[in-house]
Amino acid sequence: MPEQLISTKGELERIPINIKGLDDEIEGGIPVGSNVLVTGAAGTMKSSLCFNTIYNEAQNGRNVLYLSLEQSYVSLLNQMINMGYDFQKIDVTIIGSDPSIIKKKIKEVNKSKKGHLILSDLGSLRSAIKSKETASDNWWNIISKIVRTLKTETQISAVVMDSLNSLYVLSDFKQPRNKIFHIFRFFKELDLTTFFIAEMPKDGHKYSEYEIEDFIADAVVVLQLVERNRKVTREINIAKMRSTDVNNDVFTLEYGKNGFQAMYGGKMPLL
Amino acid sequence: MIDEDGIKEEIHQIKKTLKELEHKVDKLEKDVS
Repeated sequence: MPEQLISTKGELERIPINIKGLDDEIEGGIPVGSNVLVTGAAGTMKSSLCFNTIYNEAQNGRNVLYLSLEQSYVSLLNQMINMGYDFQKIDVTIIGSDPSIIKKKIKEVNKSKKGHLILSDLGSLRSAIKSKETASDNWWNIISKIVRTLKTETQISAVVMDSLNSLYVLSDFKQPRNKIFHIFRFFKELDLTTFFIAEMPKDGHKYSEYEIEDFIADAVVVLQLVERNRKVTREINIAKMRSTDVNNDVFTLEYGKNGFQAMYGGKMPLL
Repeated sequence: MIDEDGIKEEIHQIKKTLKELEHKVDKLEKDVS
């Protein structure tokens, strides 16, 4: 579906990021159909934060897709169960990339009344193949087919790509900047809200590998670990969000029994 | 509910295919030698 013009402010449909204290600062959520770059160093909870957003979507009855290029589904789900996510509230279907198996699973997804989180575990497939992998364009071809099929057959609304860096390692993009533009367009044209996870160096001097992703993304969510007096806190800020009256301030990010929470006061002005 | 059948089936198929290919390679190597 092509992007559509709105006639009045507030008409855009939004997906809540599902972080208490932060959704109110971005008019209630991310505009549907946005490409969102979620960037941060290791340990900043990028995967957990994206999972949290699409888990909430599935809880609201929508089908969503998590593409894991590196972490196995066992490792990812154990992490989420340990954080307190309840997999009785939603259905989770683990798939690989085999079109015939995916088609079989799609029938089951469409029979279910609950929202479905479909997890494509390409990391486990890579482990199973064990062959000396040569970088190629094939993984992107596989991913795009999975996404297109699931969008057409199960009407997925949101996708997490974990991670862009893994895709770059697996792929031999001859003109990476051009390819990245087309990858972002691909998700946009399918009217999907897509979260691209990007590893950022710890010093935070750039948001993404090729330093183009943040320019073409509709939104950029920055996660950081900040050390003060030997105490480390997580921080979050929305560096950019198109079509949104956004508060760009830095918030402290905490995770507790009530989920993610963003709070003011995490940054000491004199430091 | 977590349904792992799809990925398990695919991994099983990959391992089966790899084993069959190994046998074919072994056979070809024997035939050549």
